[in-house]
Amino acid sequence: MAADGETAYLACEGDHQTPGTVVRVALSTLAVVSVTPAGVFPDMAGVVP
Amino acid sequence: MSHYDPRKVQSGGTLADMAGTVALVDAATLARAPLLPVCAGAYGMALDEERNILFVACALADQVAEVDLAASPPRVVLHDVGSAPITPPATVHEPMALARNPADGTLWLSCQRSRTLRVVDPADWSVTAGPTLSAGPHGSVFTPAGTLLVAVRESAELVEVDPVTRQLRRPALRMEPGHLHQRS
Repeated sequence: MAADGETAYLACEGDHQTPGTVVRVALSTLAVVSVTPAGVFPDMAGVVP
Repeated sequence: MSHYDPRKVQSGGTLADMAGTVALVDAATLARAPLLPVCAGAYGMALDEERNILFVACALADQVAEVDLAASPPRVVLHDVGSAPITPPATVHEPMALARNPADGTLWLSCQRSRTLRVVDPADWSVTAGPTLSAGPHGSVFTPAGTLLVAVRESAELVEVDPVTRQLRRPALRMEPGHLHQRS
């Protein structure tokens, strides 16, 4: 969760064989804004202030 | 949090095999205190910063661990949060993750096996049922506006929950395959 409360980031673990992703979601529309590869099996995420 | 080994659990592992441990690390020096075993299937964590209490979801025990970080060494107390006590790993609810509602201090458990959210009041450790989801919920977080966001793992959805009415809000965001992993 971003500090502004308007954006959430999801760690998507994918199929555990190819890279998973970090997905940015706009909470006002609940729509995917962008997708970024994040290595195999991302499990958790945190936002550094 | 160190992840328990699912392969050992599936092959009839001992309670020690199921235990997850918390590593308390000084962010400035990276010095680590002795690893702290907490419970069977320890996974999700939430922090009560004011009371210096760490809550841990115990997926294989239908419990929540209450860790008093002010004690030396930290003191662990286990609380049953299922419908009835169980013997690990024969979990009924499988609480994988939890989020702490900053508005009232309640803990919202994402229970993968029962596909439910369960609401725990750590003031008296009472447990009430929250909504049932289409599939097993996983990680969750409260937004600054007070809404609970829950990632539903098997259905690859992101759902919104009103913690007051305990109802789901607007249609969920369903993730597409391209959102979940990158083909090489």
